[in-house]
Amino acid sequence: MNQLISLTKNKNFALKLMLLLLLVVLPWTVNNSSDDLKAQEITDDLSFYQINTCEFSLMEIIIKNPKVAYQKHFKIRPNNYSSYQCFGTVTGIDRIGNTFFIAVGTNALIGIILKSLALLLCFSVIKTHEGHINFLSRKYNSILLLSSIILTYGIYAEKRFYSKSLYFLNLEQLSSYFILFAFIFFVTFLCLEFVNNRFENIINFFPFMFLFVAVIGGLNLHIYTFIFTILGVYSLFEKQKNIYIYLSLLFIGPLFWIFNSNKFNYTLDLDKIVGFSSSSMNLHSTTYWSIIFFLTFNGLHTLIKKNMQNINLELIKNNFLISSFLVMFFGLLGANTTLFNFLNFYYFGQNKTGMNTLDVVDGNAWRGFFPSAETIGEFYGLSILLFVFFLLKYKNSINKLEMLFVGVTLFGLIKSNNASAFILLVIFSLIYYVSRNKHYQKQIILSSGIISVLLIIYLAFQGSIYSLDFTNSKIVQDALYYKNDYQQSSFLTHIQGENSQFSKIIIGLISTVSFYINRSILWGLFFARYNPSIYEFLFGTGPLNLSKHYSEIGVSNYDAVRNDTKNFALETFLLPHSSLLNILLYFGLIGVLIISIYIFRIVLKREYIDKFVFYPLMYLVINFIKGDSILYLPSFVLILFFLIVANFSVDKAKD
Amino acid sequence: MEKNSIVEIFCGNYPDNHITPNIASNPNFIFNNDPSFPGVQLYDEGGNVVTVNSFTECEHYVLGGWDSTLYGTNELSFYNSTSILLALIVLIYSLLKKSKYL
Repeated sequence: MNQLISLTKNKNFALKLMLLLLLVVLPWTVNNSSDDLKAQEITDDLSFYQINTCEFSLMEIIIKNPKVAYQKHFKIRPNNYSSYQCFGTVTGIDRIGNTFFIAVGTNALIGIILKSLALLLCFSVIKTHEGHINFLSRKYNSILLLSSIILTYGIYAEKRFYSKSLYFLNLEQLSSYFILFAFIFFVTFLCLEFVNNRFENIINFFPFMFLFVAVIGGLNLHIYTFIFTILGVYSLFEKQKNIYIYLSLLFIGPLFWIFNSNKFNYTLDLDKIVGFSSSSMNLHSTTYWSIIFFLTFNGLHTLIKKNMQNINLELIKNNFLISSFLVMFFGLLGANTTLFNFLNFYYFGQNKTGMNTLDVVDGNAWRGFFPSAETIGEFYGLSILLFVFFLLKYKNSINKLEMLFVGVTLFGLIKSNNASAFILLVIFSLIYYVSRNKHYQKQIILSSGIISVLLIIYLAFQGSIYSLDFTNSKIVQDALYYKNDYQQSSFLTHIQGENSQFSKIIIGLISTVSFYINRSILWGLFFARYNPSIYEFLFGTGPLNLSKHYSEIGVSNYDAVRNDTKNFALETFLLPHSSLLNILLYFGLIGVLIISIYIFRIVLKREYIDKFVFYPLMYLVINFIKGDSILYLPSFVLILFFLIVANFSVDKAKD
Repeated sequence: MEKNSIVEIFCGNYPDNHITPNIASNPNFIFNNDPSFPGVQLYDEGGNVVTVNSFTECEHYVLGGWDSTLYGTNELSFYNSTSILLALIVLIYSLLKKSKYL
């Protein structure tokens, strides 16, 4: 913890804190109304606020109506589609039922500057060193220019998405892109300066990505996208290039994806996956997201490769605990205070506004601050797992601060209702304990075996173990149940008519696993929608793109036999709940096989990998199969970190 | 007759033999609808909107500062100025850093 406290001793810490406070308070305060117009109490009659839009700053409204800040029936929502003149002001108040929705102007282009300044100011407490690349050298300038051009191209590639939030610019005109380039260039410059002066230290702080999610409202971008693009472009200038990554990521897949996407023009409402998924499927968006995926992967690969000796697992463990605690803390604050719910959303760059209640949703889970309860549950579990490992290894006493952090994180894990994260946390803690206590090994393994057998017998008597005939076909039955009546996906047609014994075993295995981990309906829905050509099945349709999957074949929630709905919330944006299925969409069967072989190799060579890396990686891989972690940048970076570090450990041992 | 390029962008090409009337000297001037002219929506700085139904009317409003984009003039000039400001910040920072002031 001392390492973190030392961050506050950073030079200019007080000044930075002051600047940060100004950045948080000023935007919602300065844009006040004229003298002859005063804010009024919010009542059932909203005509005053509907006539006088963009007149009152959010602070004026809160001073006149303090209850807006904390009462649950007020909801403050950002309006990314507002003019710069309305920034920080109330652009409208509407009432739906008993809830008042207060829209606050948050212009997307002002947001990109404000948010990047706030985020980089927070991260500026990380220790600096001499610039990694010479300032304004040819390499520096090339990275700056190329990264800015790529990111500006992203706006052109997703014109339809941006035409709403950037309505004041004509995205068909070249001149509009000069304005956008200037804004993007500025943020790229800030990020490059940040990365260049902290290149050796930033990797240890990656767990804070779960707190500072950093999505820029109104744009399909994270601020980290700038950082990873910079790192990715930087890796292009490196002398020792990883030839395999270049071959597999740059040449083989993208060519097929780009040519294939030329015939489509699908779009997708991104909802909670905004920032790290394409909003459309066409030639340009596929090209752009292929480049971004390649740069993100290669950028992180290069950052880790260059800093293997700087990775400090204890500091990372502490950062996990602190960020878990803060995610919970701000989640609780946002759940109880309307104003903080809005400020959390804006400054932490959440993909989706945090929950405004402590109650779980649909008997399911409390996601709090993060868009996905399952993913944040995994994160909490991993924080505790790393803490347990350090505790078992060094047998240090737990101080009060750690106790608080672990307690709050455990509370978050329980509220997230992620049973598999909890079970895996227990299993991996036990495995690590056994591996360290050789003389109790037999007794522990024996007692664990007996407990497992007893548990299976108990479940069998409870009637929770079903026949293989039933579980093997459950996923196909669910897919058939939810498919629509007029169109059937090619994959469903194929597996229905499949006679090969091998395919039957694979489908049966997937179906049985999905049944016992409560995924059969969600995966069944995936197969009901999955409609690839043979080449798309082999190579995928390109990274970070779900547009075709969700737009091509619809599913139906109407049961004609019962003349009723099928009682599943199909109208909501239901994700596949398996990153492996997402990989099948993105990279096809070949992609799934490559990744499986890669992980299998790591498992085989596990003796060369630090247990503090290997066990968390296995914990994440198992969760990866049943979760959507690949769809969120923080969780994607999380698994990639452990995967790349494990891979380097194996390579190092081989050398 | 002198052709104005901004008018041409917003209102289309000048009709043959077009003569710009002197509206300022005639307070009772009435714009006649031109059925062949596709209606064009124009905005002023205050966000007021008008639909013009003839080339003459369109020309009159555009020459008076109206724009085809909502908040167009103000909004665009704000982003243009901000772009220049951002570029200047980068430039000044770079100069200061190069000269070891930072």
